[in-house]
Amino acid sequence: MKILLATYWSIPHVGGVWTYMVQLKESLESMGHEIDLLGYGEENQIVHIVNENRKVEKEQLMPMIEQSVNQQSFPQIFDNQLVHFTEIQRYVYELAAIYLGLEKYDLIHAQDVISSGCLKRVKPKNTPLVATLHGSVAHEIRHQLTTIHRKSSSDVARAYFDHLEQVGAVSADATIVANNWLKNLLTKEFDTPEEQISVLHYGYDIDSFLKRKDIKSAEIPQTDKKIILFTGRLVENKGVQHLLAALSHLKEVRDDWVCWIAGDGERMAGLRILCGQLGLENDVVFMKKRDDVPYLLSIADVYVLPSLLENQPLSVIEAQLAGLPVIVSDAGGLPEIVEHNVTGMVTPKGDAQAICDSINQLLEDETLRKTLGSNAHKFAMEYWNMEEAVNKVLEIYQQTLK
Amino acid sequence: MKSEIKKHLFELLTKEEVDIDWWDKYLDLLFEFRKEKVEALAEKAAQTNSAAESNEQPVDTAEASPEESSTNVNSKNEVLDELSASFEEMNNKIIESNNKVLEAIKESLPENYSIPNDSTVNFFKTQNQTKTE
Repeated sequence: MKILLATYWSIPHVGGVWTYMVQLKESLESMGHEIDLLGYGEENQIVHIVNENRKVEKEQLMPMIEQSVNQQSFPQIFDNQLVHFTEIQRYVYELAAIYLGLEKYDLIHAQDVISSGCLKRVKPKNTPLVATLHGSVAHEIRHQLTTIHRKSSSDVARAYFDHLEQVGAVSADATIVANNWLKNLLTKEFDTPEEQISVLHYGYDIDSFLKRKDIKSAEIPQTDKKIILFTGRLVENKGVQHLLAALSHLKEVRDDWVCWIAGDGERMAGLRILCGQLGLENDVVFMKKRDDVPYLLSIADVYVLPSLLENQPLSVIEAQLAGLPVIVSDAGGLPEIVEHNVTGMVTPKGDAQAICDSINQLLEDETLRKTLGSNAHKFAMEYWNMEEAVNKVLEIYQQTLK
Repeated sequence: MKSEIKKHLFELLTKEEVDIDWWDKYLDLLFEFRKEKVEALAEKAAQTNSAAESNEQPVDTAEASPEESSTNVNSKNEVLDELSASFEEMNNKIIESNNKVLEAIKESLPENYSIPNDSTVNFFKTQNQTKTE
């Protein structure tokens, strides 16, 4: 089969969606399928098929869009900057997809609600469309509308992104989500029919991860203390601020630990300042983005992910594969992949004291730490099997092709 | 000069490699720089001329300077014209190429395809209704 894996987001990029697309591409290609990857690129100024190096520039398409979408004809679109930007980007994406050509594909597999809604409008009628949704765009935007995109027109923007979520979730012939949390959210909040949605958890290229466990790509601080590790993007929803608050409590109890924060993002500066305010300058190391996360995980003692909104993060999958006990919040789909006191610990989101208590317990009790880590590893080796996950996706493909 | 720019833009570089914004800015600066240079030369020539007259320099030298500077000005203007023409040509080729892309898209548009899409239009209608209620 010739399959198009498509996302509205910019690719290649840092984050779970891109990793998922690449790993799925490799697996499907190893089975003899041909895969192309479509998405935005170059700071949203082009739409490209990454693996073919074919692209269309946004600027080339704007005359056609501006003819129809202008402030006089559709003033509502211009009322909110985020709505206007997204609406224009959607038409650019649609026209670019038409130009790059969708006829040659046997199946299109969208990776988010926006690309799903767009491709539904421009794909050949008989080409099946499958969508895997990696999170809730509407819920993520809701948070941004109270912070970086706060405007008097935020209410319209919120309704607009709710509308996009609803349209995108039902556009495909079949919609895949990774957990029951997202399924429930889509069915209850966005009117998606239950029969539309299949819950298939991710798979992960385990061999490739294990091979990279001994490869160090940059220097690390020397320490004989226990290592608490966070890996991921430094954005509001990852909740690192609550981890820092927890560490300031922990410092009052013990000092046999350091915390490494590996990742980059818009919250980096703010978190560094917070770190100073909490008196944690000598206890927390910001390592920026690292290419050797498997190595860092292999030498760490505890992994913490205190997210406020989360789907099925690859960082937890990697920590489990490395045999680390994970402390996660109860946000989104996290409780579905971490069993409390079996493979890790689950704390209420935003509860710094609970995070502190869990870390303290694991640092104090070596047997518990090792048992939870070992359980996590066993669970991960079986649960995140890539071949099995890809076969389930293929089953969905087959159903839509019938 | 013209042939050099053409060589760079149309022969050595593919369309994908031409950063239009960069070239736009670059040529603007180049034009500005050239204009300033030409103005400075003309001013200098005028000053030299006036100084020569006041110093009662020999007639043959005094006559040579304005001609020379006039030739310089003409030659610089030619360069400016050539640059303008090159840029115009480049711009036209880009517009032509963009039009081809748009034509290709128009031919492949699905039936009932509209911008903005019906779903968005309906969404805003319901928003307006909610506001008026």
